[in-house]
Amino acid sequence: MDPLLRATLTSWDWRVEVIFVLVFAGTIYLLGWWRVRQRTISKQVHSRWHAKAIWRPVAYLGGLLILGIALMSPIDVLASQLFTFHMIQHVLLVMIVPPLLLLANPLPFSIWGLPKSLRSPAGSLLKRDSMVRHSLQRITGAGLVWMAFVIVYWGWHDPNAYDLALRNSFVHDLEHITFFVVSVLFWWHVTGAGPKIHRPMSQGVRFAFLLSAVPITMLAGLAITFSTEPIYKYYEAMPRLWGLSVMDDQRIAGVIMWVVGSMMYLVAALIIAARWLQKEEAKPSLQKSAWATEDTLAAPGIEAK
Amino acid sequence: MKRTTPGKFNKRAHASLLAACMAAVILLVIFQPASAHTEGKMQLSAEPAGPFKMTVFSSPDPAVTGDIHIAALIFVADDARPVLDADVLVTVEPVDGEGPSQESQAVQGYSENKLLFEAIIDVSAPGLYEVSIAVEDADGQSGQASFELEVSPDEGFNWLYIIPVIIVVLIVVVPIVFRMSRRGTSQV
Repeated sequence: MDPLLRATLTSWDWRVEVIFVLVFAGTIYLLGWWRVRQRTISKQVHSRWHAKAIWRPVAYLGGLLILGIALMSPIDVLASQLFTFHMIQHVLLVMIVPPLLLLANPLPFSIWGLPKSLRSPAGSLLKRDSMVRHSLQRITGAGLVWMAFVIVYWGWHDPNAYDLALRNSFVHDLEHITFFVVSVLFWWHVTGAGPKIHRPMSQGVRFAFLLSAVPITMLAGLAITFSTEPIYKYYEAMPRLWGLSVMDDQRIAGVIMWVVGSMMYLVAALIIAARWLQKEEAKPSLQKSAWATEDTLAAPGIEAK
Repeated sequence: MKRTTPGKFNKRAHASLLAACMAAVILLVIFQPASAHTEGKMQLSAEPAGPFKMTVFSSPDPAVTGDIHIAALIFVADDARPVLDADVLVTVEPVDGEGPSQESQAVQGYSENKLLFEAIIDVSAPGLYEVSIAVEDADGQSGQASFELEVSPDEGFNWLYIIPVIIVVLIVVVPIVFRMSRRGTSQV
């Protein structure tokens, strides 16, 4: 095998703190999902959570697995040497992992995964009159989340902030955490996962909300792709892997952000639009006599006097 | 007259404390200082060294007495191709000449990034040191680069890192305890 390829493929960073969080989150969720499933089967309760559906744990574990790959695989190790790898890592953290985790509706299942004595108190933190719920409701409105997403996404791509993140592991972790948190909040509104503390978005608003994220990634991606000089000086001090020049590396990273980044939101928006249209089609249509006779209408939509 | 039962209070308090402790643990492990996942402070940036260039990192940052990691990315100056098969020797010696110099072979196994040559050197006394990295590749071509490193006494755990954890714990716990105590008073 090519020594460079071997060196890159074996560059795994097994971070105990990441493994701990992933294993903890996965265990609590699976335990909760199993308990809910057992209750549904044994008591023949019709569950709104569709606990029998295996796709939820699959999506959740898939999300955790991809999160682990993003933070510990050669993608993370090489992110400090190739901008392209860093961009792939950010796409995974911002656009792939959050929707996968939230589609699994993690909070209710995770509460069920807690010991019995803690379930009710944990749930009560988000009860209707609780302060946590009120505070969360105020600071995570869709408009604020959208603005936070713009500020975090564009802010971290400022050359000084980005270079600082590459030079300092604390700042690097902070960058990833803020990316991940604002993305989770963004996709929380889109997926409608629990806790349901906001008024649910209609399909149309959801569609528009998703489309509103496209210019955020697209503009940043275009700026990076068509820049005529290296934006992030840090990468100039790195060896060039596989003969990829600093500018080529930057262009590929820009295209990933522009095309792949925008595509994720567009695909999700199209899925929402398709479901919306399906619902509309499923509605009973008006009888022809109610709108198509000369007596009722002078013109489409206008009643004859 | 309605009074919050001790059992209920305990459950809520336990849940709050558990949530706060979990948040603290997660924050502690996430924000642990000088984790190994980046290479440390960049000391040399594409520094010419004969036919090569070197980008060299040191950790911990700031350098303190004890084990100091010196990691070097070495690449061919002409085309920036990484050098993977080479002998790399790291030498650390006090700038004032007082005290012994230390040498260590830098190898690729120490770092999670297998493109890096890394050496671990135990520096026991604080002071200003000169760190030299000498490289010789399989074809016999060689180069050397160096930098100065200020090593401070190790003062143990930096308690500044605990500040964000305390803030988060206060944000979570204080309002809940305050709310519970207020509710308890109003219900009496």
